Amino acid sequence: MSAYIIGTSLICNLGNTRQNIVRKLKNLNQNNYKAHLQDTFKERLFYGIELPLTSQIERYFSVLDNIILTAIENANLTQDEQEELHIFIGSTSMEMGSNEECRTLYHAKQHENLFQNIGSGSIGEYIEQRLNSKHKALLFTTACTSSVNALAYAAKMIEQKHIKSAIVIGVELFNQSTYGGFSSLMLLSKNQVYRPFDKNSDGIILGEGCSAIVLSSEPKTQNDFKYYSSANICDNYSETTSDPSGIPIFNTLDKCLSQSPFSLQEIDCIKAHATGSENNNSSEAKALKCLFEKHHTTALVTSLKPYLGHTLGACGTNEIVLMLYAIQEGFLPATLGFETPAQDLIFTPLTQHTPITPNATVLFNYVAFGGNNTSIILSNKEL
Amino acid sequence: MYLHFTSNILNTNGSVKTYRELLKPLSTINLRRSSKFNILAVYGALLCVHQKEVNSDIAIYVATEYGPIMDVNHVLNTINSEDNIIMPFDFLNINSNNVSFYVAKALNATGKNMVLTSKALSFEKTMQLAFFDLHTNEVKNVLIGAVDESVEEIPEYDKYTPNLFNQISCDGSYWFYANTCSTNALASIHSIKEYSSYDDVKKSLTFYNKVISLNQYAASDTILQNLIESESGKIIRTNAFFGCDGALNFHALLKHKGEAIHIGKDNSGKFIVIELTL
Repeated sequence: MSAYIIGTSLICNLGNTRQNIVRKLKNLNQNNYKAHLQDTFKERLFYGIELPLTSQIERYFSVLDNIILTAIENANLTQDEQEELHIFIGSTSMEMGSNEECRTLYHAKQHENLFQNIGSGSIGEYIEQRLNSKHKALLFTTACTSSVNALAYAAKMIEQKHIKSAIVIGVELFNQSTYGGFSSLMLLSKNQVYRPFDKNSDGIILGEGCSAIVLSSEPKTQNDFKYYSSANICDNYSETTSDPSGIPIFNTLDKCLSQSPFSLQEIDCIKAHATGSENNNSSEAKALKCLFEKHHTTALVTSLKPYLGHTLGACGTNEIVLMLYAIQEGFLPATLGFETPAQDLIFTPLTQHTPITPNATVLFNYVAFGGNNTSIILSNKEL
Repeated sequence: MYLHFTSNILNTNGSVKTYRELLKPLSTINLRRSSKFNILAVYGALLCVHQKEVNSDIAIYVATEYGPIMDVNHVLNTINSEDNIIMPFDFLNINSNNVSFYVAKALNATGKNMVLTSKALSFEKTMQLAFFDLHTNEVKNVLIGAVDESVEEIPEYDKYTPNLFNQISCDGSYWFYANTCSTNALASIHSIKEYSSYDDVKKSLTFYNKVISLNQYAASDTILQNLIESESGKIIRTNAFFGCDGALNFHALLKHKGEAIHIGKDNSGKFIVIELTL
């Protein structure tokens, strides 16, 4: 049994519909990138979603509803099929923004509760009700790997015939706690330009974004992407930084590759995690160097955070959906902002959008706080 | 899936200092600035595998209903204060997955680690995921924790938490080590299944001569209890409350012998059932 991606949706800084996202993605290039960022960061250094709502609580439910319904519509599911979906959710901050709003209103004596919810399970409960699902939602909080871990488990459960279909949701919306936390850790970019793997890269730029992926044991079209393998390894070097040697990241990438039917030569592109932090740039670059050396070949590498910002727990599914959109449009997105290689970088990430056939094999890599490393391979090529 | 070792901590709201002191003889890990939630988890995990050989590829799963809720509460107050600057450790302490990192660090483990939640059924869902990983040979040995701190200090906490039996909210850290080796096992778990309704449970399970533990939603379901008792099942129920209360009752079940069932239920009537031999 195999697991196929039969429906997707994404709301991010590039837009709220697939059409708008693809149009903006296509039009962005190294020449207009800085102007785009200046426009994006007019209010604050953050890749925000454009929504006419100001309430964090209303935004949360509006975005969730939108991505769920769009993915289901895209997958063309009947009501019965929708009710059979198993629910997997990944997020770092979960409902933090809603809880912040609730607390502010409570202090202003405009709300009687201190919390919107205690714990994150209520999000799952909401989605169960929204879908009228027969199944219990499971939420992953493994920081930046949350939604990719959710996706990997959903796919494996389909492969193993434990379940037939699933919806995987990555959700991350703005909240002051996360923004303030990254700021206090001095991880945010000062130059306000996302530049993964670049010599002048100086930090992370956060973003908000949500996406949903519908997985099924049956493909809907010949070009549906299929899950091939994944690996999750703990790097217990530090709570916030990867082992500088890059070895745990390499082990994750290599394990994922070895569990797939593909050789590195057959990987059309590696989507790097590439947060832009000095540690991640360097350790992931070393990991990729090890991978290329072991397999005596290289692969194209790109990063999608210059388009979306770092959407933390949702970046797993967000970046997968964005990459699939691009491939379906016939190109691999460039790593915007990359100009001068960082020290010892042995590869050059894509500097321009690169044409590709709509059939591709991609190795997605993710690295999280708490040493949680995950890689996953998706392909719609015939073996 | 064979359970080999367990540990159980259940206390009324203890201080972070108390747990730090208890942890000291077990580990030299530096948790000076870490949260009570993390320390409670590491302490429970180390107690579970104390003086046991644990492979470095052990997979770690942490179930929690509320996560580091007291730290979240603190940060929510901070951002509403005049000096609303989030301090680095305050931020790190609200990242739920640091809990599994510190457990991995304390055990020098490099296998997978997951932090999971599923409203009212976090423990049962997490057991199910670990069962899946063992069953599919994804991993060879697993350490499953159910960790929640007391919410006593949160005003009107009953508004947000399902304290169905109106008990004192406790700190809890329950851990279970399991693998696929049957030798000297405490228990053998045969299946962990979900049911979307009471009728499905009734159709699929028999309770005759079995010992049954219930989480609090299942324990408050009189129809379910009547069914179990009418089939001469023996219900085990521990009168205490902490977030992952399913783990507390599942752990109590392990003291018995014979065929056993653990039933977890949520407030919408979905069930997760663990069938095991003790």
